[in-house]
Amino acid sequence: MKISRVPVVFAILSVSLLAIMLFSLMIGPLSFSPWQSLQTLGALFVPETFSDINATHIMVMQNLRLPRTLLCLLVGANLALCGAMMQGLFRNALADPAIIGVSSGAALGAAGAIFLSSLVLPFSSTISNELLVALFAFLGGVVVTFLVLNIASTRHGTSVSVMLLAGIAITALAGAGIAILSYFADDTVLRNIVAWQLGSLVGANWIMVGLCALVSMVLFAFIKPVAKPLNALLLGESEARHLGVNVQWLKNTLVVLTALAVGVSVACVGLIGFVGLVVPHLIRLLVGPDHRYLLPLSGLLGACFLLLADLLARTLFMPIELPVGVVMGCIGAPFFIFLLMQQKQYMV
Amino acid sequence: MLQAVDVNLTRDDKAVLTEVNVALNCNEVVALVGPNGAGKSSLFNVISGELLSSGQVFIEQLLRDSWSPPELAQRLAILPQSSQLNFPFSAFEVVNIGRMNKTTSHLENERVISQVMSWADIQDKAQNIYTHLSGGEKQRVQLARIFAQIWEKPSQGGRYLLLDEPTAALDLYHQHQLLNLLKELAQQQIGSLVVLHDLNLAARYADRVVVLDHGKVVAQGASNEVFTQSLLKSVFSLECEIITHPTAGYPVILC
Repeated sequence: MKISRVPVVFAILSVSLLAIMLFSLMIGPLSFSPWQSLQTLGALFVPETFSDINATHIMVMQNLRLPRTLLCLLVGANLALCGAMMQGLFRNALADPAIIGVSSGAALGAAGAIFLSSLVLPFSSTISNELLVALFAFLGGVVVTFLVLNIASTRHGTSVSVMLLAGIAITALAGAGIAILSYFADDTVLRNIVAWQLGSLVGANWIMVGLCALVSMVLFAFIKPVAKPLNALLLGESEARHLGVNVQWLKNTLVVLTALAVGVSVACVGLIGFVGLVVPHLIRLLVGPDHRYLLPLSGLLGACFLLLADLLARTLFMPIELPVGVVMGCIGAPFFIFLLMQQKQYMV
Repeated sequence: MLQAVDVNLTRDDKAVLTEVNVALNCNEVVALVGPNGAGKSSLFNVISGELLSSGQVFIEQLLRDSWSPPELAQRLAILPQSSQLNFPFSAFEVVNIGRMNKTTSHLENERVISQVMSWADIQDKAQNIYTHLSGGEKQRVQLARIFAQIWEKPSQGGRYLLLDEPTAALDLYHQHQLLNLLKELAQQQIGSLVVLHDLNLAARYADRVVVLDHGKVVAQGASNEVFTQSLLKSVFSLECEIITHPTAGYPVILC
């Protein structure tokens, strides 16, 4: 049985995550040996023991490598986890925040916040600004998720074609909204908005790490209460209700959780698509669709996945760095087409 | 006892159910029959709470909505006509979803699941992927799931099954096997309300038959009282002969 593989998969993913994290800390314009990066890391936490470490190394580690690696890990985990939740909510393995328009809604919210704050006060990277952008992105995400869920829901479940078409429409609408904002924006704001749409981890800082870590904690805390009801929901809404699930609570919770994860991710690193699509699919192939295992393992693999994508983005054309959203698009879009080919007989 | 009292339901200004009163004791199998569009599934949806109607549903003299959802799920399980599951669960895992509210140990759960899967005669497919099973096999997995849901006897009162055309996808052997099983369950205080299209199955197995036509209950009672030539003509537009089974005594309808 596939479930019996859970411990092995968990162990392999955990070890891989640690290994990839180490790589991520080592590689860059100033590259460290594994031992060097561990020592520098140690110097951050216990300066007395590692007093002979180069100050530049410590600075690179503290301000660049470590926040970027952690942010990447957290965003990857959040996006993959909320992708898995969203697929359960829509009862469809093709639901992904980027595909059904949630990311665009969040991006419109974020762009609106950047624009508004530039009118009120000159744009600067302060805590209040980042929180404002995150809040607006979250609100954009909530609105779109509710909208798509309501448009695509029928008495017999969620219609795939309606869901995808609604996603296209909303993405176009949000795109138009962002275009209008960019038209009226000055150069600084415009650059910010464009950077958002490509998705990049270059600007990683500790505020973002804290924000995403908070979201991760909330998401992981909800895994246990939503996992079994989500399994029941896959049978159908009525069936879940007959099993004693409070379906309305479950749907609302999932919409808010996924919008929170997408909104905060978009606010911090911009649009990164397909993590939430590819990762849960791979985990389902490995251990089956039971959400008790699918959700946490998706989080774990999502962290590995985005770290790897970011490593590629950083090293593929060194010294030029690609936005990680572009790398994910190159991996994710063909994968999505592959899924469509595979599943088209089930979709009318 | 499960009771639906004075149920009226309209959809788009058309009466779907009119003054329907149906009761189900926990020691009986009641067949709900009627032509397509008579309101059988609507009545199920009213009883299960999916559709709001004027009229009330009582379980053990208590309004259905006054039960907490898990308590209700412990007493009332519903088999839908078809299911929309399209994720690759194994049959075993699907049945296990029926155990979601239970705090029983892992071992006990496995014992219950293998028991109910053998009731539904699907135990040999336990490790197969649900979406790869045939229609009838899926139906039997879903049956096992609702048996697993109401496995534990509540401290008081009975348990009830609502089965919407459970025999539709089943072969003849499994149709009879299922109805025999429901008869046995009735002796353990698990009553069943079953939508059936095969009147002979209803005549043979049901303790009572409820005939629904144009949203009204037009007859109910023992099968040999309910199934008359005039009723079959007026409700089902069928010219039939009704004979009595030579050894077992139940009515057999010949069309």
